[in-house]
Amino acid sequence: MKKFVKIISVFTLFFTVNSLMAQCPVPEKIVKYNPKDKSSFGVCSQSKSGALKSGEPYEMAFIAQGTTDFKISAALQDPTAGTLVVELYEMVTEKDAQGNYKKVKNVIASVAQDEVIELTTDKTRKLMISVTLEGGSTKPQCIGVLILDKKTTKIGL
Amino acid sequence: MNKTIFIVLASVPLWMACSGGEEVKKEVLTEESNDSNGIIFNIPSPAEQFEVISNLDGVKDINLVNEANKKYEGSSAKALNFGVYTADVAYLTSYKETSKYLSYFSTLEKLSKDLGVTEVFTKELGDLAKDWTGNPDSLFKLSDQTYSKSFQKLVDIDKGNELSLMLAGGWIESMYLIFGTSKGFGKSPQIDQTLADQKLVAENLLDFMIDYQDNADVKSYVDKLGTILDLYEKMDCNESKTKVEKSNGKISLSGGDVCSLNKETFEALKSEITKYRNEIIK
Repeated sequence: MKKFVKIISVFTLFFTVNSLMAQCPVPEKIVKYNPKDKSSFGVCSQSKSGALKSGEPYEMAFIAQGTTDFKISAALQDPTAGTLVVELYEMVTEKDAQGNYKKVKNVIASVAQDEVIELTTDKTRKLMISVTLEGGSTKPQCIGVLILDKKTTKIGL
Repeated sequence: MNKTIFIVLASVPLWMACSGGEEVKKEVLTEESNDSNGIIFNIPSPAEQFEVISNLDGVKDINLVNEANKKYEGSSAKALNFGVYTADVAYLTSYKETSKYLSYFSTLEKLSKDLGVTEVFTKELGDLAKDWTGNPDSLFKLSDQTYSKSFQKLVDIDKGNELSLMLAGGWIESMYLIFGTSKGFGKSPQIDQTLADQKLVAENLLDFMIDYQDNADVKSYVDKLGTILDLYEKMDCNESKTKVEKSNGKISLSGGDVCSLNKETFEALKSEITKYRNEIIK
């Protein structure tokens, strides 16, 4: 009996730890998106989901391929767990008054949870997405960053 | 003993409640964070890259892809070549070359068993691969799904070293195929620009792999990527500010720094990529 309990304990502990580590669904299951987009846009492989603590920003660098349209949005799995601030930016090199070069943040767009950043780019760029959870629970919360993409439709003859 | 049983039974509902039937993934955001200020670095999948490249001014050459059904020994060689074959499948399907698809899909399936991502190759996926109703686009989507699901599975089972090598193999093969698609420096200007843009992808890939460089094989490819980035430094670059315009709620980005290849950089990169690629597939 003791042996049986020991085996069950180890087994249970293993599954408990594993299940606690693996809790966040894929981004497309967290972030709601317009069904109309399903036919024309695809889910970009650079979309991500995971756990985030309040006040600790999550930043990801993604490659936005040229002549491509993007729809970027983020959401909390539990919408009552706080509010999200999503920023799209690029790092640019600037020269200050003293003639020193430094990398500075150039914010392209800033939106709230469930708002969509619609973007098109003429050339391939490295862009950054920053997501910050404000207020709410102090426990880590599952968030999804969904990037939808499609080739830009050429307009004109 | 009763206490032990209580603890065991009390914890059962906890893990049962947390492991619902939904598709789940690990805490990617925190686990993938590396030393670079906690930033997570992503790169486009080979399929996403070839979806754009197949419409440019290159020429397809299906003989460029690695021979299917080759056998590789050791987890590093298998991970690298899993990446190579995902790029090959993306290349073939983006150019609507579907005749070889099944043999490549089957090669990926065999390699997946040794990498621990065999669950990706479900019966449903296998049936789709066999019965793709003559629509090359469905095979293209299938190849992208295979890549994304394998990526996620490797994250889920904590195989960061294998994932790094899969991404490195996939990117090096993609570069090899893009060079092979070029008609030569200056003859395919759009492909030349795509090759120049790959510097950004190489930077993100290197930043991703740095986290796993304690592994000797990963370190070897971190160094190789470093060599490639050194070659990219010899490109001709012009600095300018990014122009951000907003119309009907849509943001358009134009301008910004532009780098282009010169003949010397083109040839040096091609030679280095070909060398690395041939080392991987031998």
